[in-house]
Amino acid sequence: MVGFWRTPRPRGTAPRVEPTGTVADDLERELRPAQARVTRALGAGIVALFWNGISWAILVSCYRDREWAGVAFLGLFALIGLVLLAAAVHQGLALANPRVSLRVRPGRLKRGATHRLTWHTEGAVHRLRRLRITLEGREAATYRRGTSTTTDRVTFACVELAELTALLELRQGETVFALPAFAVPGFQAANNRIEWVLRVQGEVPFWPDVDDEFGVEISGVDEEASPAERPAPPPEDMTRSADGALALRTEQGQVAFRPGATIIGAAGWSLPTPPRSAEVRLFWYTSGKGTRDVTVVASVPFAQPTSQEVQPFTLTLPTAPWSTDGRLVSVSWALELVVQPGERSVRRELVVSPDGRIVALPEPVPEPTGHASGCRKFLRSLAASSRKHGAGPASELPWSRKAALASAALPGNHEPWECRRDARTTGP
Amino acid sequence: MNPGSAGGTPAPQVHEKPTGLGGCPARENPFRAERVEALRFRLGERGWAELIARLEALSGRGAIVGPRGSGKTTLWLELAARLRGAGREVKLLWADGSERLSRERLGLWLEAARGTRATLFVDGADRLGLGQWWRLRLATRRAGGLVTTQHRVGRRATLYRCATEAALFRELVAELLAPTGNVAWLPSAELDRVFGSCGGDIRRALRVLYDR
Repeated sequence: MVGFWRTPRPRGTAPRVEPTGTVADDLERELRPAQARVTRALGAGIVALFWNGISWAILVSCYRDREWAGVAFLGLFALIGLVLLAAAVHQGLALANPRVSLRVRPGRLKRGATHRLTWHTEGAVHRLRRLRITLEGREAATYRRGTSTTTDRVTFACVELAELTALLELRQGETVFALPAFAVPGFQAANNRIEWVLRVQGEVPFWPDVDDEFGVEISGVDEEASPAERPAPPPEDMTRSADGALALRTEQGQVAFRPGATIIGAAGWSLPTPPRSAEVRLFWYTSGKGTRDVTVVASVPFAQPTSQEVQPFTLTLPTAPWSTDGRLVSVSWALELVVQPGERSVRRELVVSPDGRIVALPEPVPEPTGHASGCRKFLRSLAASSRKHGAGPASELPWSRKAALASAALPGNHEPWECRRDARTTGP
Repeated sequence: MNPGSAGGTPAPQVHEKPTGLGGCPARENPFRAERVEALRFRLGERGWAELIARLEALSGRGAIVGPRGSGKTTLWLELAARLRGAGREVKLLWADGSERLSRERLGLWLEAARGTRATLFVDGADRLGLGQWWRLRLATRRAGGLVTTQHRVGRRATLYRCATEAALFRELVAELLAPTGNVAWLPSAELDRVFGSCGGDIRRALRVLYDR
């Protein structure tokens, strides 16, 4: 099978997660939001200005010329422009929100370790009603075919680290946490990625909520698994091509490796004529909903290959990514011997993880809602304000307060953050 | 819940959807991208012979036309592979999902294609602006041919018009499910409903099935 090498090699990058912020020292990292609020507000403002400028200018011109068909048509664009303007205003208002900075120690998260998260809020902290900090794991897969590009995203983990309401705690505090067992290092390739973020969501009554994300890295270096956890090597310590001309083996038939481990093996071939080239490649690739990414991390070319030969090789694995099974993205590792001409090859699949097993990610969770719609949020804020100030019987309230209470009583009007708390109580 | 002060160590709440509610690992999903992309265009040997003959009759210049998800790129790729297999030189330019082909990228490609006798394949030609299109035509007027994919008729004579139907969708799904041994995973009526809800876009319909 030469499938990987017949398809165009995509523009895959080395696996990495975007680190944000500065590294104060090797043990602690200060995090900054992945996307600055100013950037969001500016972007929304420019789009709204551009859209409204053009659509309203043409609309007014049509109106003056009494071209009613044009007015009707452009009216739709003008309405969209108003929505964009509202969004830009929303983003602009969010600039005045309190700013939360995070520090995490150690700076690179690690399974089996205890981490300390410290937060500090600047600005009008008193306007915050509640602050919630979660660690979220996400898969993203982009499918590119022809002129079509679609990206799907799922959140497979939502770890609540803190939920705060007291003013002192909102201003600053710290907590300790450990990573879940399925936490794998993130990676980013051209079409697929797994990433981890610390998400800060703050409820601000009668104002856009705080919703900032901070990218974090999970280290691929892990505690050594106990020997009992490692699966037994397969019965065949050698993999042969279909015609038997090519063979690939690893020391003691090992196919499960820890991140960062060294792979020792041998590649052999028996051909009628000397190949033009022969090379062993170590690579990882993705499978799933997104277009496949293939990234070669190391290769060993064999100089002046003869027609029949057995050559040893040594390759070192990086610490990430790990062999993973997600809903949208799976990551696999393999060794491949490729000879030219003809792109003849033989591949030996590997598993790279701390315990020698593919790490299975949990089923995706519904996207946690960070923002209620503007109207519902406003009504909910009114209702909460009424309860706080000891509102009288509903009949004594002005119409707006009655409406707020009625709305708050409707089913489905739950708290804005729904990190699937009910999943624990409802169960399968 | 109030962990705020230093030393407070409440156990983090990990919220996971309970297992057993469906879904399989991405690598085992029969509708994963690499399997979908490996689907062959249904044309038959006679159909291929006729298509190539028509391309010759159009002096090697024509457009594969069809709505989204109707197999234009699949046919485009297979036609290029067949011509290459027959010994003809072929050069491909992918639209690659971008809204507009960048001027730089188009320029590089045209420079490489200039003066060649190869048959040139351009995916997503209707994404080219008018100026870019005329640059392309000018640069490739001496090429061995120019085959494009487009959503609508125009710019080039129609070489082949792609269309989808529910029966084709069911056939493709059966092919994808064959290795699982569970070809009857969804009843035909449900497959037809999925196909209809996607407006005949087979690519989108297969992605819907992926999530199932």
